Amino acid sequence: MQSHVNAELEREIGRLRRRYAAIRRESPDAQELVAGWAAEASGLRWYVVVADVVEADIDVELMPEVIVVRAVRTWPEPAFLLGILPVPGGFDTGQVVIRFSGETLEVHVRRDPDRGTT
Amino acid sequence: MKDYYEILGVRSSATPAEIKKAYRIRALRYHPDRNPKDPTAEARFKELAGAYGVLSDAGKRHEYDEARENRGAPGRGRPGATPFEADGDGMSVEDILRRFGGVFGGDFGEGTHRNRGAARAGRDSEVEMAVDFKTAAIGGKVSVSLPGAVTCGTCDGRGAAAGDARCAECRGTGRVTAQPREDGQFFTVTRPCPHCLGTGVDPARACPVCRGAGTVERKRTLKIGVPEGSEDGALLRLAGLGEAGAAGGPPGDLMVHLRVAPDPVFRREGRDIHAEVEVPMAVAALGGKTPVLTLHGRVNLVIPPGTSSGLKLKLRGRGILGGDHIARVMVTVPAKLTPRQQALMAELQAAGD
Repeated sequence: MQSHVNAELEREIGRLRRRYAAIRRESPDAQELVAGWAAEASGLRWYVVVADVVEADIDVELMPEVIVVRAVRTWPEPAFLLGILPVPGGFDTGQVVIRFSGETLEVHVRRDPDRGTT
Repeated sequence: MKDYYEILGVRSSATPAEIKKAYRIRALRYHPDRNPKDPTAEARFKELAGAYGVLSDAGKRHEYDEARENRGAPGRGRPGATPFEADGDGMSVEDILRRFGGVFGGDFGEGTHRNRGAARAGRDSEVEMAVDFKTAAIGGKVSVSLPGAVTCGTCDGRGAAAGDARCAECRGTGRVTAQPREDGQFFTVTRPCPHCLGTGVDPARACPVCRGAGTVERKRTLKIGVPEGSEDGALLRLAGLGEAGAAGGPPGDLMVHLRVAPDPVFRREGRDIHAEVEVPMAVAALGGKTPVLTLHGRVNLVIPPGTSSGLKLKLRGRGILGGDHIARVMVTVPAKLTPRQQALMAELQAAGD
């Protein structure tokens, strides 16, 4: 059952990733941040590896269907980093808890049964 | 008196840009986030902030330069002149980030979003399109209907009924940025402006049709050009044909997934087309010509004498993108013979024996 839910989320995340590809095209030189997700009973948790970046150089933009992480790395070599985290229907980007520890940005998006799949 | 030029590692003749660059490099190196286990990093970070606070301000720098010069030349100092000290040591890390934050994360926060305005690129659209075999093979146009955001015709995409209608809350960016410092976090979080709901347009002066979004949801019909030789499952990416962007943002792309229907007559193998051709028994035996339907129209196929079923004859350049049309001969025998035909067949049989 869980793998069925995960497969459905994977598909939806893939669809939203394609839908919001324009964000990536806006910054063609950006390096894509490595991100992984886990579905939990309480919501969807994204983990983004933001290595060699100071916290003040990270911006997390919350949009209804997608969360965009932008970061600037100045060391060891300068780079603009970009992460696109799709948020499928059933989760609410208005209810997000973000933590940055070590080199990982953790974004927890709570479930919202009222928000259906678009 | 501290030597701020030495702290930042620049010459006393350094330009403001050189000073800024030197500060950024060093401050990031000693940023407390990056050095959680080094208790001296914070002190160094504050020292750098103090030096930058003085040298980045033309007035303070001039004053500091004078004091520095007088210190180095005894007797030249003004009576009562006090050693110049910056306030960096007394500032908290939070104060420093608030004051010089632009130097660290120059691209982020409110400043960036203000520069970007409310303009947003349109989303990419995806559609599955059924295409018949022949159109996919030789190319053509196919109409497809799809829903999505299009530019609002009433306000021309501006989102405002008339004049300057920027939302006062977000200054027209549609976004609000905050740092969750109360939780000890220094990254910035950007959300849609709660007042204008992310449109950047004052709701009181928003276009009554699109309510400030600049786009409306509509079903639109497009004629898509299918390139010659398209295969089933191919993906066409059409730049700028996706959903309309908001507030002057560029449109997204349209991705068309082609579903090519099989054909009852033609079969594709790479660039070649395979089909069967029926050849009357007499033509097969004696040789001649028989009409063949290809993707590019009807042609006469030359049948050599003594042709049997299964023989493959090639029509060069009649396939896809210069490929060939391969006709597989199927010799047909009349189901019913007239008395004359029966007699001739019997004669043929006898001659063959």
